[in-house]
Amino acid sequence: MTTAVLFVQNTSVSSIASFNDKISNEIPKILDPWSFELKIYRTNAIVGKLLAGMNQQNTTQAKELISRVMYTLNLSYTPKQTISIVNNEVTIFNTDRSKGDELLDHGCSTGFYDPIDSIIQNKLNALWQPLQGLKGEGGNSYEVTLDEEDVFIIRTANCFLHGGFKGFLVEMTYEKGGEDGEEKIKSLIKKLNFPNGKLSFDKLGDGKENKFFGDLAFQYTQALQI
Amino acid sequence: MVQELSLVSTINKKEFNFVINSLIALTGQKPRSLTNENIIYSPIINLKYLQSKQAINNSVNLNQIEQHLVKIRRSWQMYSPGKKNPNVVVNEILSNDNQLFMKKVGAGDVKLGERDTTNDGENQYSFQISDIPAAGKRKVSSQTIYEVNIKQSATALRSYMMNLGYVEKQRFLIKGLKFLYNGVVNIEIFQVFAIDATDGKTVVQIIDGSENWFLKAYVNVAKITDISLINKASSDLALLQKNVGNLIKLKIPDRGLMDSRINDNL
Repeated sequence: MTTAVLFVQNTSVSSIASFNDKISNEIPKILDPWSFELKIYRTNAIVGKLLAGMNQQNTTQAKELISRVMYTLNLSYTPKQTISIVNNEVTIFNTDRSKGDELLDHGCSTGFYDPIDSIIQNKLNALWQPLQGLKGEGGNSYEVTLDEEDVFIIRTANCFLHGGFKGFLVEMTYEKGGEDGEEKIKSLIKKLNFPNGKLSFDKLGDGKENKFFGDLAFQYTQALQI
Repeated sequence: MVQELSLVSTINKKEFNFVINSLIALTGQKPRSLTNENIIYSPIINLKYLQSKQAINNSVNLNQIEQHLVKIRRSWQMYSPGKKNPNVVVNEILSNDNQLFMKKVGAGDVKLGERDTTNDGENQYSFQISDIPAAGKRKVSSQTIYEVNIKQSATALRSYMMNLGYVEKQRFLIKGLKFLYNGVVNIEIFQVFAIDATDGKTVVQIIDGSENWFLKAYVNVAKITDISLINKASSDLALLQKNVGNLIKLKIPDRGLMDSRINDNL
C-alpha cells in the first residue's frame, strides 16, 4: 500500500468543488464523508525559560529539546486511534475497548480509555503545549479505478487553521503493494490533472512499525508544511 | 478517565491460604491468576527541580503545572502448560520459582530475561497517569486514572517515550490472584517483584522480604461525575469491608504514597 498527501494552498473554499467534479468524471465509487484533525504541540516555553535561568539553554541537547514538536493525527475513518509522531518516532494510541481484553484480563487496565490528546492536555501539559490545530472538514472520499486494475482511494477536505481557510488537502492511497506505488499515484495526479501543491510521499524510514499510518501521518505533517 | 475507588490491606504469609479459601466461599468463584508487568516512566527534565535551582530574579511560576509519573502496564503469563484447575493456579502463584516468570511475547513464550534483547514482538500496553487521591475525610480512597492503549514493540515504545520526554525509572512484576465480588468489586491479592536488568542479566526479587501479600479491593467508575454510581461503588466496597471484617482489615491507602506527581527531588 502506498500513500501520498497533497496540500493545495492559494485557493478558495469553493475550488474543492471543481476538483471533486473532476474526480466524478472518472465515475468513482462514492465512499463515506470524512474529516481529520492534526494537532501540533511544542515543548512548553517554561522548559526553555528554566534552562535559560541556569544558562543551559544553548547546549545541543537543550536546543533540541526546546525546539521539539509533537503531532497527533485523528482520522475520522479510523475513529478509535490517534497517530502520534515526535522526532520521527510514531506511536498509535487506541481507545478501542475491544482491543484491551488481554490487558483487562491480567489486571493491567481500567477498561476505559481516554484520547491521547486529552491526556496530553491534562497530564503532560508541563512538557507539551498545544501550538496549533488544523482541521480538515466536509471531506469527500472516492474509490477510483484507472486502467481497469489500479484502485485508488482519494480523500479530499478543506483545511482550516483556527477557523480560517488554509487550502485543501488530498489524501491518496494506492491499494496494491509493490515498488511502483509512487509512480501509480503520480500517474493518477497527472491523469486527473490535480492542481499544484505541496506533495508528500515522505516516509518515516525503514523498519518502523505502524508503518502505514506512521508514514501517512508524516505525509500530513510534511504536506501541510508545519 | 475513571474514578478508582479502593481499599487495601496486607495479608500475612501464613494466612494466605485461609484468606483465599474464605474469598472462594464469599465470592462463590475460583480465583483467577493476576500477572502483569509495570514500568514506571519518569520525566527526563524535572521542572520543579530546575525551578528550585533558579536565581531569584528569574523565577518562573510553576504553580499550575505538575509533572506526573507514567505507568506502562502489560500482561505476562506464567509458564504452565495446564492451568485450568484452580488448585494449579493457586500453587503456581504460591511458588517462589523464578523460572515461572515466563512471558508471552509475540509468537512464543520466552524467559523474562531474554525478552528485551532477543524478541521484539508487539505487545499490548496500557499507558496510565493517575492523579493524587482526593483529599478529605472519606470512607474509601478515590483516585482519577487516565488511560490509553498502545500496541507496539518494547524497543519502539521506549524510543517514543524518550522523545515524549520520559525515561524508565522502575520495573516490577505483580503476581497474584483475583476475584470479583458481587459482580462489581475487584479483589486482587498479590506480591510485587522488582526487576533488575543491569549487567545483561535479569534478576527478579520480591520487594517485601517478609513475603506478605497485598490486597487491593477496587471499583472503577467510568463516569466520574455520576455521584450515584460513585456512591453505589462506595457502598459495594463498604459491604465487602463489613463481610470480611474479621479476616481482612480493609483500610484507605496512604494518600501520599499514591501521589504520582514529581517533586523537586532528583
